[in-house]
Amino acid sequence: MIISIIFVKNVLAESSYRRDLPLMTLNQDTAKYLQENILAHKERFQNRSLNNILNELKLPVKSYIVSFGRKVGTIKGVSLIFENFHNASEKLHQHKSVHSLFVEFETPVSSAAAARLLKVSNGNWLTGESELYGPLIIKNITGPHGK
Amino acid sequence: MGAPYSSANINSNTVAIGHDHDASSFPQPSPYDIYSLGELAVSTNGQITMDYTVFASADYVLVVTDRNQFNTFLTNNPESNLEKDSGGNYTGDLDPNSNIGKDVQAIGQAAYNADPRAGTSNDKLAEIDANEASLVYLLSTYGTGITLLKKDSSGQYKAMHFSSSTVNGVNTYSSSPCN
Repeated sequence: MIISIIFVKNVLAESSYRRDLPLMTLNQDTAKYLQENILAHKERFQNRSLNNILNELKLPVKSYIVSFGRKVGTIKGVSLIFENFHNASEKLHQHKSVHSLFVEFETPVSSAAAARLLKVSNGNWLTGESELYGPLIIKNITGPHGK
Repeated sequence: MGAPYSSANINSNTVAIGHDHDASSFPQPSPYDIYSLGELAVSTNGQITMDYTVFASADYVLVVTDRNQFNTFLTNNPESNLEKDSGGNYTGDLDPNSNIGKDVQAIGQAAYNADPRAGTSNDKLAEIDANEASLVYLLSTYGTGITLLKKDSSGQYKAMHFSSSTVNGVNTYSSSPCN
C-alpha cells in the first residue's frame, strides 16, 4: 500500500513537470516559468550537459553574460538571458529587471575561448556558443535570490 | 600621509586596513571588499575609511568618501546581492542573479569584448582591465560613496573614473585615472 502511494505521487510530479505551457503564458510570466520548470527541478539538470536545459526550455536563449569569478583566466559560468544582449544591458543600466538563469559549470571555461566567441556574437547566443557551452557539465543552476 | 591622495579626503586621523589577493586572483578589490569597507566605515563612525589592496602588478586603495551615501547604497542594494558558494561563504563577487550583479558583469563583458587583447596571448591583461572597469562602474554609477584609487608609475594614488563611448555602433567601456 505504501509503495502504491509513493508511485502515484511520483507520477503526479512527473506529469506536472512535463506539462507544456502555452507560449503566451511563457512570455507573460517568464520568472514563474523558469522557477516551475527549471529551478524547482534543478537536480534533473545538475551533472548533465547544458544542452539538456537548452533542449528543455520553451524560451529561446538569446544572449548571455559570462561570470569571470575571482580567478583570472577562467569563467565559472554564464547567465542565460532571453532577450538580445543590447536590450538586456540597456535595461540593466536603467536598473530594470532582466530574467535569467545562472549556470555554473563543473569545470571552468578558458576566458580566451570565451573571448573569441564574444568577438563574433557580442554577447548574443549563436551557434558557436551552443557548441562551446552546450556540452559542458552543469554544477549548479540558480535564479533570482539564489534559489 | 595625505599628500599622495590628492583625489580623496584623507587626514592624519585616518586609519586604514589592508589585504592582499593570491596570485591567481584579480588585483582589484572585489565587490565584497566594497561592502566590507563601507560597513566598517559606518560601524567605526569613520575611523576606518580606507582599504589597501596590495598586489604584485598594481596597488589600489578603496576610500569611503561619503558614509551617508554608502548607507543609501546599502539600503538599495543589501548584502543579499553578494554571491555565496554552496557552503554559504561569500565568493567576493556580486550574485550573478541580482540585477546589480548582471549589470556590473555585463559592463565587464562588454569592456573585455571591446579590448583587442581579449582572446590573444595577452588575454589576461584584457580580463584584468575589464574587471577594473566594471568595478569603477559599480562604484560610480551606483552611488556607493566609495572611490577607487590606483597607484601610477610615479607612486601617486589617483582616483579612477569610468567612461563609455560608442564607436561605429560598438560600445566601449574603460576606467582611467582622474588628472
